[in-house]
Amino acid sequence: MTAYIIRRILWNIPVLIIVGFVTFGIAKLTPGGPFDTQPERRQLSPRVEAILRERFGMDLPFWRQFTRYMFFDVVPDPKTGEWKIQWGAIAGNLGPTYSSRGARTVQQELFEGTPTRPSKFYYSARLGVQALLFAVMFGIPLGILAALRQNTWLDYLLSLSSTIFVALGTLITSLILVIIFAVILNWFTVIPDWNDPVKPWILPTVALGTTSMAFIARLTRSSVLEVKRQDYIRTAQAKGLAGQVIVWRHMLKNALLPVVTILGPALAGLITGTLFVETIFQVPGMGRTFVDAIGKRDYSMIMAGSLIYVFFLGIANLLVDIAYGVLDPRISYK
Amino acid sequence: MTSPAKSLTNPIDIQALNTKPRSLWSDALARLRRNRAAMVGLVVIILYVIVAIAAPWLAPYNPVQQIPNNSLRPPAWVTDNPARMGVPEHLLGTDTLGRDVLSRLMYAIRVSLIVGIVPQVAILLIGVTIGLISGFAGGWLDNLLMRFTEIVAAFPDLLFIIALSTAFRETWLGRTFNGLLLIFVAVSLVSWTGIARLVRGQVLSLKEKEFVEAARAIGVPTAAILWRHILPNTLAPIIVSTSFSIPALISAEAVLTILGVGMRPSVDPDNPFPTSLGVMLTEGYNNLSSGPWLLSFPVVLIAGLMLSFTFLGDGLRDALDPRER
Repeated sequence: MTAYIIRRILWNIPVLIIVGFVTFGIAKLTPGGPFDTQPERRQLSPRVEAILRERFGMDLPFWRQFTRYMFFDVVPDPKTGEWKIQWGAIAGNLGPTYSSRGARTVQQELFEGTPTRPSKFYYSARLGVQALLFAVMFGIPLGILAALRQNTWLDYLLSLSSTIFVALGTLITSLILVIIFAVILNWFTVIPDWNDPVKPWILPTVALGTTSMAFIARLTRSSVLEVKRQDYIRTAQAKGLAGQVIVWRHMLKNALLPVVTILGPALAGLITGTLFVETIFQVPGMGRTFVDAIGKRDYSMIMAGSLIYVFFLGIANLLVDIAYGVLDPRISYK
Repeated sequence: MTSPAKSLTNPIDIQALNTKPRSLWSDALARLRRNRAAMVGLVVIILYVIVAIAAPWLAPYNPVQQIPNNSLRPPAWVTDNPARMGVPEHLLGTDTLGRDVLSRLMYAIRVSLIVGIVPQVAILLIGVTIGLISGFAGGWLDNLLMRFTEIVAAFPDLLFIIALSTAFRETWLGRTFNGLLLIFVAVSLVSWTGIARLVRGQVLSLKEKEFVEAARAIGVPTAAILWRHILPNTLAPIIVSTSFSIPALISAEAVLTILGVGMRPSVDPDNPFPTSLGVMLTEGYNNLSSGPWLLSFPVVLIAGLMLSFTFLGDGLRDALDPRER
């Protein structure tokens, strides 16, 4: 088990490097740079631009810029002129933001907040966690309910609606929620007030979580139905155990195992979903920042976006794998 | 005592021998026909296709024609506001520029159908090829291809598509076909991993089967074994996966367009593909308070299209899954 975990963690390292390399390549291939995205409306004098290019090492060869960003580079200290090692993304230095002309680093931009204005990471992470909790807390009970009432109108209703929401996906679900709750019912304003601790979070959380919830409900239902047919359930019934005891102790414990496995893909969906759910509900989180960064050619921010997403996905999948191994004694990782 | 040969004289048995043998496909078709949700889905898809093809004849107006003094008219049945009444000439109202929403929707369906199908062909070509080779060759080639697949699957796909779409937006690739070609390329490059894994898994179990061994024993060349014996047997899961992938592609175009890196709307009156459902969703979302119908109609249409493909896919899965029999 330990060897397996270590191997999985190590496998994430080349993945991160390759994803970083490809992202860096695409970002650099994009015509225009951070200081001249619109050449016809340039605001910088060529001299200032030359200084900035020098400072960010934009005239270095491509591989050198990449290794400087990902790993480290040896640079002279601007004050003393001494040569020293400048660590890159592997040490948590995600680089200067080009849009601030290097005044702020990416990690400050994303992770630093004030008491009145939380960080961008806070908004995205809170939204993601809330959506996942929403999906699990409603998806599993609804799936169990549908399975225990198999072939009743309740089961048909739940199955049909989960099929529909899985099919519609996060974008269309979000837009339908906007139409119903913000336009027709007028319960929420289209432009949210983020000082309110609860209200602006409701719609984006539901929008982001619904697809996963439907997915989880569907899987839970089929998993419970599968377990219901097993011999040990019949044995439990034959020896006269109470229905409740069978359901809770024998059925659910085994039926919920497969549900754990789809938490990985569900998390991936939630994480990419934040990219446009944040745009639609105007959440001041990381997703919107990354999309904007691509337009502004803010190379460090684009890189940070890919790396952070891949990093969290790797961790999430690893945790799911470990949880599965711990919960199911039949599984052994080699 | 009756011998087996003698029992054939029984008229019922002779009748059974004379009936045509039923193939997997005709069986599946019969099962699909009995599935009401799948048939409704199929009919709705056919309706969409008819509207898409016949849009120039069905649409009452040119989809980019701006009619003066006619902007933001609500649908025809909304008559409660005398200053902005719906008129029967514009059944589903007009948008901010005075263009007829019904006509625009008809043309938008064209693009959304194409967006669902063209990249899917590319995805199938890449995914099936890699899956077939990987599963059949095995060894180091399999290992290499699967590691490659794993890395591509690890990419944050949406972020990657957005980055690609931005990178090449101002090049010839980004201008061809209103930016749709770029969407096709970007989406295809990251979406083939699922189908590759699916096909590889199928091939791994199929190549151990007796009929493949028999084919090899009588000297059928490897390419022919792959093409004639293994590929047809993987078709059922490929068809099912395709019908679930199409709605995802249609929604991907909408996501990209809402984020501002998707299709560019055209103002050319002769352009056969001036707008997409994604463009209309974006325009509707941006004018949410002044014209809620501008968002509602495209949402209903795109939802109908995605649901139809899903119901058809569900039906196909039930019909083609041999375990059901």
